[in-house]
Amino acid sequence: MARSYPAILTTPGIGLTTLVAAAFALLISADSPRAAEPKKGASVSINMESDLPTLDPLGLASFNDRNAGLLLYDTLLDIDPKGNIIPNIAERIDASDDVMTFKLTLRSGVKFSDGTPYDAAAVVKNFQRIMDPKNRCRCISDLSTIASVEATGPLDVLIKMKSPSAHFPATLADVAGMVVSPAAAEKHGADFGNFGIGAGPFKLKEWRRGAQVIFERNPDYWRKAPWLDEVVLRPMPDEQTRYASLKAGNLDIVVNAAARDVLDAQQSKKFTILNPGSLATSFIQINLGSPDVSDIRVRQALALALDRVSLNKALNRGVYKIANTPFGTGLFPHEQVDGYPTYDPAKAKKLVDEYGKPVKVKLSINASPVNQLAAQAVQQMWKKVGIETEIFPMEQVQLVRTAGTRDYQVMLYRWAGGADPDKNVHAFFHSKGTTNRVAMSNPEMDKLLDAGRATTNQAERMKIYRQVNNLLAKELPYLFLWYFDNIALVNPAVKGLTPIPDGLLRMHSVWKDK
Amino acid sequence: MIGAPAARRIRTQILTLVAIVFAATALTFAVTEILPGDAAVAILGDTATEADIKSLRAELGLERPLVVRYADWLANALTGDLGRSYRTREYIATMIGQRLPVTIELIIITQIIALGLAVPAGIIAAYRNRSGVDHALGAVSIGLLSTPAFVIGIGLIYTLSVALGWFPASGYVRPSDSILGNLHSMFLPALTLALAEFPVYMRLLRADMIATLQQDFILVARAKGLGVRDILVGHALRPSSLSLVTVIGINLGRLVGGAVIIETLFAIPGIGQMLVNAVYQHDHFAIQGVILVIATGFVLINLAVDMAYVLLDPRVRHGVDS
Repeated sequence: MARSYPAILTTPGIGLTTLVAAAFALLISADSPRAAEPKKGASVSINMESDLPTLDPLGLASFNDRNAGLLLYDTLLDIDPKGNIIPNIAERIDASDDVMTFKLTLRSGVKFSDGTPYDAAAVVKNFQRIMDPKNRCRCISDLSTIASVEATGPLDVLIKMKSPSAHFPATLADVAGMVVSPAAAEKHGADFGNFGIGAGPFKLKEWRRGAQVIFERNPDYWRKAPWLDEVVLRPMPDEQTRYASLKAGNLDIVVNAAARDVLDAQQSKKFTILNPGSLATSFIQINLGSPDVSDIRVRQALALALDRVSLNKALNRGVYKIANTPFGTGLFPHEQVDGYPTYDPAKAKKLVDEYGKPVKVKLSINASPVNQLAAQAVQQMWKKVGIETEIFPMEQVQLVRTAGTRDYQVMLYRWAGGADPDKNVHAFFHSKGTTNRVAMSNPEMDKLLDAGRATTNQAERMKIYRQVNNLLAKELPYLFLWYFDNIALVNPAVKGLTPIPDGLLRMHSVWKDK
Repeated sequence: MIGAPAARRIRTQILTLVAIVFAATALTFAVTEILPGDAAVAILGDTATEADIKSLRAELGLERPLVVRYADWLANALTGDLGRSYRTREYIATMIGQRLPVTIELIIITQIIALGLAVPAGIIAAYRNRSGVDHALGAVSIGLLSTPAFVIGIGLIYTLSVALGWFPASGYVRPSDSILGNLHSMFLPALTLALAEFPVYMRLLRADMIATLQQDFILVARAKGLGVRDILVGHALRPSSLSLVTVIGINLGRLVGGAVIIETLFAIPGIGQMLVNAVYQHDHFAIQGVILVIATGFVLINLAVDMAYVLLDPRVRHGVDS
């Protein structure tokens, strides 16, 4: 096995300076030139869609959950505003040439908020914890290629893979990189989810179920202690209430703001609009194993008949960007594609005629009002080229189930995306993918997806994922709609937020100008 | 003293309580079963494989037949154990214990506001029957009656909260932190619900009051030279309030339904919001627990309304058929 470790990250010194410089540059660009000095104190409140299920990373999955996870745990690695993997609590990660081994080097002197050391032993224990199938971590599918994890020094962890895994570092910038204090995990056992002891910038102060979760400053945070005294996460199921609360001054940050509110905020100029871009897309997925749509001519007709610009204008007030690839703005193969079909109803009609048989598709959707509107618009567009559409609205859990069992024909769907291109395609389009809902089985695709994991050379990976994009544009298992930007609307007194394409908020540098 | 017929009524009511609670929980259990998808899918999310889902279903006991699961739940519920949430592992009884007082407070404040507006308005409308005031109140109540509560809520948020800044647009302050803060945070949601109740109460009281005012004893009171206020409040209000009391009772149940929407809109941590989340998450035990509490509450309220009749109307007390 190759023993050389070409650093896929910069050396620690450079890594840190660039990180600080990048953060600093953003601070300057986000605020006015005469921006005041950061002030210590104050509390910032952020909405959630519903209350957290737990504070244990094992059960964190949704956007809300992961925002809370960043407050409590921080992550081993992080991503920068362009989506590059950067050091965090781990000061470097080195991959072997064959991408079968990773060496993780931790920062020294980091402590969990209970005072215990954050060292290689803790990281190994954390891997064991999240990879134990009994613990049912929702992150487990991200770790399926790991063969073994061992501590090779007080701050060194060696991770061996079953197959080449260039996507692995990105995994550590998410839930799988949120390390819990092993002492606290042992002490609290199954109730650890009520405490959430990690090494993040904040720690739990009080959890008022259903009302708010209050986090307070972790004075021993490994970076400089955060400016804010408190961060409050508030479950607010209703979209209109969130924006109204921001306007009334009861809320500081609306995350995942509705397009309508983003537009209103743009016009009123009263709030800071934080658009970090996106990692992934909204799309219509097609079950390639179901009748009619298994024929490429029908899929082409469906794609050509979609007037996505009008659709985006009508549904999203044009706030989002039209997508032609599964990779959001924060991923390097973003829009690297040749020949994704553009709106051409005449050509679509011709293809339907060529197909000969009458085409009737069943469109499954989440039953929310905005999706109902989207489905009706799509129905009209398809009708114009001679394709009948029947809409099947259902609630989210059922939709996920229906997708998983491939009990559908076409479906309006969304994927939040991962911080490495692989995470948006491998599981979905590989013939052996765990969530291959479109029933794709294409040897060329399999070869490309495996090749994308087998090198850390970005230029080479760019070539590979460009081919993936081209193949998707040719085979059309997905009809791409738009990149789903995780836009946040922010009280202008809140400063120091860095836009990161996963849309999650890094609160350690945030302060409030009272 | 309570007469024999009244006592019999109350006994029947208590038996009905048991039957209704049983039927409601059994029905809910069956209905949540029909819901496609289940807790295992909700917990594991969209990256789960079929094998993961199957093994979690087995662990949660979801593979067992419906009847067995219901019997199991019922047996535990009878001993006071409502189970734990699939999603958060919290004890359902604890969850309800934290959230029920919030909803009860919301409903009480709602009723106070609704009655505080409806009783004077109803009396005035009856007294000034077919006057301009009566017609104006009628128009207002028709308007409120035909507006869904969440629309009223959003209207109030934008006027009283966003534009005027008088009340917070959302959120909940615990009474243990600040009584005034608590009332301040509860006022808008309670007013929203109250405005939906107001027209019903007002129209009902008005109708009964008009009938009462035509009765002989009112004529006698007038002849004795009593003032308008004495006649209306002292003599006419009580006999006119029978239907109102019934409807207040029935409406308490309806208000729980309203609380589901209003608590979601205003981000209030009551059982309404708990129920909505539980349904979205297929958290069966949480749904069952909330339904059990609501069904029991509803039946108890009806019982209380029946008892209130006894106090309000001597005819009921003595079992006299009017």
